[in-house]
Amino acid sequence: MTSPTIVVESTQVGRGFWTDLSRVIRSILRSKPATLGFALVTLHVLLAVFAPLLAPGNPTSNNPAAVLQFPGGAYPLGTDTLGRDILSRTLYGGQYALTVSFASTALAVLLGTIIAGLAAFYGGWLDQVITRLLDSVLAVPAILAMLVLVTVFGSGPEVIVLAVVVVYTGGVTRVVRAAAMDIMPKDYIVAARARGEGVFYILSREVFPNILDVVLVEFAMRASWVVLLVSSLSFLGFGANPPTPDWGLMVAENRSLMAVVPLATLAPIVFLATLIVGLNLAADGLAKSLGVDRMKEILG
Amino acid sequence: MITATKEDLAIDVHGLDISYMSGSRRVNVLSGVSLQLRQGEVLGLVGESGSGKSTMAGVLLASLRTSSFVSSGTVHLDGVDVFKLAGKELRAFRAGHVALVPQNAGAALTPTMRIGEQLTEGFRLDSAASETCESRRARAIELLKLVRLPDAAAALEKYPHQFSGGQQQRIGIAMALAARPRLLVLDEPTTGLDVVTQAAILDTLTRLHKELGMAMVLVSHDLGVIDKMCSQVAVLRRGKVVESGDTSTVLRNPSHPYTKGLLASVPRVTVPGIPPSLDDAAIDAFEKGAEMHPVDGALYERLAPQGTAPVLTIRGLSVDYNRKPKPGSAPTVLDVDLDVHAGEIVALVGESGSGKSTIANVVAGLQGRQAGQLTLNAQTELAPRVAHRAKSVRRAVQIIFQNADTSLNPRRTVRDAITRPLRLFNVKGLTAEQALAEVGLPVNFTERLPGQLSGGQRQRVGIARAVSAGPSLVLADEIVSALDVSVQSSILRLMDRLAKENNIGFLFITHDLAVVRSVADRVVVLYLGRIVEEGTVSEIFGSVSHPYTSLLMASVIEVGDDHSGAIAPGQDEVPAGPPAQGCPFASRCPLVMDICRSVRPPAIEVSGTHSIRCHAPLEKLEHL
Repeated sequence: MTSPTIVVESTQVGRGFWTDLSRVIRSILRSKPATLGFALVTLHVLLAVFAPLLAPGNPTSNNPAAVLQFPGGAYPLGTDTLGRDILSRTLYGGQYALTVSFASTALAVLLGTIIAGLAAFYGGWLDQVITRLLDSVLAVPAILAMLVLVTVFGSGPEVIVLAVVVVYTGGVTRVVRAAAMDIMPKDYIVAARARGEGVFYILSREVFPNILDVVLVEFAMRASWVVLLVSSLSFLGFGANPPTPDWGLMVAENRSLMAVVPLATLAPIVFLATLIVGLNLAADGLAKSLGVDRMKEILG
Repeated sequence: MITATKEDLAIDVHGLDISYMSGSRRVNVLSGVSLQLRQGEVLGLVGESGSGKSTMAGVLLASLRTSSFVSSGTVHLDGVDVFKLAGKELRAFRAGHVALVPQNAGAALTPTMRIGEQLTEGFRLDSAASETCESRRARAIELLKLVRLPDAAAALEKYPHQFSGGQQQRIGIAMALAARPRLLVLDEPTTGLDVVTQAAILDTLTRLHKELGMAMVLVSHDLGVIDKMCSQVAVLRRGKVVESGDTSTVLRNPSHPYTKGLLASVPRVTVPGIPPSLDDAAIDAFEKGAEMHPVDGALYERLAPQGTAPVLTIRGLSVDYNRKPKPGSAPTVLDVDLDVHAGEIVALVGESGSGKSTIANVVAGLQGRQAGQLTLNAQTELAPRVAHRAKSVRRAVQIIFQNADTSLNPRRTVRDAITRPLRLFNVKGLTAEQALAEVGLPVNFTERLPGQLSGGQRQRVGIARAVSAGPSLVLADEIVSALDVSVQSSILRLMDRLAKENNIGFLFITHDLAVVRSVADRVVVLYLGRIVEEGTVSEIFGSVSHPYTSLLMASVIEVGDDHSGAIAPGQDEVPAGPPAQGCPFASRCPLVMDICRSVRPPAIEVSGTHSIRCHAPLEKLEHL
């Protein structure tokens, strides 16, 4: 009754998934920061995927004859203490950073969404138990929890993924649960319950399509945090094992020689920074064009 | 047209266009609106949703929605061109000249602020009243007394949630009056309230207008309210004023076909039958210059089915939201007996909090019960929870919801919504297209999303979803109260046809007595979860009724009524819960006796179908 003019308008636009998608893309392209963000993320993905084609050398092969070279010639960005090509290592580093962080974020968001859906659907004591449990996980600082997990289980990529899932599922659940709770009392859910539909049907067909925007934004937002976290772990020596090309590891290895070969630390830092900034801008743009109010979701 | 000098006019709107941009297209929300109102008069703005009446109310507060703008025309309030004002001057004008009473005072009051503080904010610029703590308190109490809030002094220390909806609306009015505005804008001030509360609030407004003499603008979709309150009226349709003038002239002798159609489509408490619906297409043609054919104003009278089998039998139903019985409180719903027969529309009537939706939820298996037996089709016992009910039982009981906006999943097409019950319940030989045709929607609507439908169309989809399963009982919870009157009657006719043709029994939950009169066969009046009266529709609207039913009837405001009578003060004070013993209505009843407070009233059988639960003798229950 209060916004009749808006209703008339939405009768004309938005028809099905593809028009929705093109509307979102158009609204992202209208905003400069969001476009920049998506461009940066796409660039990083492309660089990582085509690293074997782009890299001038092997990222892990040592060359005692060409240690600590200045940029130029066969080594566009120079070499590190073991004579490895810095540009190649930086390009390959994206593979590790992107794979580990996207895989772990995807898992955390998936798991968090499922738990959140169940908590919102059943409510009552189950909801209480789940939220209290996750709150207690959230109370532990992320980096500390990850260090403990890595110390116990070793430091392979799969352990890093596990650690991120443990640390971030709680946060995702909280946000998605708030969004799902908003949907639960709607009459179409009541209608489905009255028909005697099962949990799976109600969650997958009635609830999730309506909170997909929140989940997507949550994914984009968390991904940038996870990239930073994974690199921090590597920097501390708990993430990628040498000689894996990884940005955090590269910074750790070369920071003592910053005055000699500055590019050996600067190059991975620049790559890391542009990826994180890109992810953040993309997430913000996505949130705006999907109409998700991040502050509202977090403060609930 | 009114001829007066500029200073005499509280409102002078001239050739006003309000627009917003949709892409590169300019869309007019209001176009060519011209209105005048003299000081101290009351203007009513009538219109359906989308007519621009709320935008107009905003304009009178010199406020527009973001992205809207004045594309031409002027608005003078008290001789001041308000859209020329900016910054400080505009704030000063709003602070001292105009005030708004919003539709939902419960949402308009700040929940974390005490009433006293909120009121004080309103007259902060009034140096005399806000000088000392005592003067502020005195002024706040004076304001609350003005709107007849019980126990004004104690109310200052309370928070908004501690008041009922009607009391919140009174506080909202007091806040609007705090700065002694010269123009008071009321945006649907009584729409969310019960009839008795509405009558009491409107009486208060009438009295305030007499005492304070400010100009008022009342925005409403309810022609009865407009008729009671306003001296002038402007009828809006799609952003244009189609007719304006003295209320008595416009509403007694309407000249525009839209006004005529609107008046004809309102169901009346005094007249049985479903009114005709408004022919929008014909009015559009008229606007373009075509001839308007005389409208068939005949009412459609429904015939109650005779001697059909019961589809739902409720015996001794009690529901208590308290897990353990608390001393001093009583179950929310107590000892309700109810029958719905095949093809019959049974209206469950009551104010908010009377437990009517609770009963529907129990029948649907969404709410547990403490006692009582529910029988479907005279043979199947209904399990308390939907999870324990057989598929055939779930299929036989369907729900239609009040708010079609939230009853359809915005991400799923009309086809999805309708075919899901068909597949779940294994209904053969019915397609989504046929189901849509059954409720009078075009078959190409199947691929649409709810956002692409109007309110009435969405409600039809909701009905199609319920009816396509082939139920024997449909729970219709306030299904027309969110719709415009012009759409309302077509939905009522649809319900009537479905009851007759598909032999469906409807349990129709509503607070609107006029709708009950037009469509129901039998009526059950509920007060605080107890049945107070039950009978056929003509018996309920006849000359003998329970004091509560009489109060409800007396509170209904319709066009053409004599609006001089006012309901007795205090009668709109609904207690928070039912009393532990005695008659639930005892606290408000004009006929109350000692016995009413201790003994539950017996059922007086007036006729075979009409019973009243009251201690008073029958002759005292007669009214004119």
